[in-house]
Amino acid sequence: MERFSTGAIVLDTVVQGATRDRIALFSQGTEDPNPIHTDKAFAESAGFPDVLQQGPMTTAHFARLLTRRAGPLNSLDITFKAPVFPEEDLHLTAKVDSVASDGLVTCTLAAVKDDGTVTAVGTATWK
Amino acid sequence: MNIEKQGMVFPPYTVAPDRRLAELFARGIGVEGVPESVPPTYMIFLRGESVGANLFEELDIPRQKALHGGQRYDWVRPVKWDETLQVTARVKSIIEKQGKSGRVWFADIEFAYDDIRGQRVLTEITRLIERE
Repeated sequence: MERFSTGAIVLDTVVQGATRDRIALFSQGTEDPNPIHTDKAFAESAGFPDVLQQGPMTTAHFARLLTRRAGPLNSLDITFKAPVFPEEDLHLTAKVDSVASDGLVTCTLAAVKDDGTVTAVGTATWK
Repeated sequence: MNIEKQGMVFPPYTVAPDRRLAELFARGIGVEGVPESVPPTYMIFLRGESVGANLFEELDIPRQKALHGGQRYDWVRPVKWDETLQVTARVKSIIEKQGKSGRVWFADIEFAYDDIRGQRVLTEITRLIERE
């Protein structure tokens, strides 16, 4: 697998916004019964203008893309900061913060909408 | 949220990766076909809901007031197809804070996934938020 140094950009990519159908598939695939992802009326009753993409969908994008670049991860820690609605693209970035003497790479992550809203931040580590 | 549930440990349950569910999971993120290997975050707290670790019911969190605050995974090794993991869920912490428009509760629930030999495979922490 590729070796990284401090400051390296590991990810700088846009993932296409999920359609309602894809959001529903992800709910099925994660066995998530929460109607907030599939029922607009329910989402509105919870104070949102539309159904929500699942936060774990962002986590899954990071996990998949980072694993492809770096191999199996040691850890992935994501904090969801703002809701993501159907069809909203996310710009995912990952930048290496440090590389320890034992080879542990620590990376800072962010997911940002086209309008600049930060929807998730986090860290990932691997060796 | 029922703050008295802090420290609660749910009865262990088992989860085995399912290729059909993994395919739906992958299609959800725009990838077609059954993944070659188990997606890293396939193991997710939601899979316990139907087998005894229903966080929303147990912690008394109305879904309309619930938000997902985040997730953390610590892997010892990747999960393999055709293995069954035993999962033990524990309510690690519940914190109440006063927000601008009422109280907000933050719960961290830890899920420990062990293989058939009792060796840890991964740990997942999910963070649930309830708004008043």
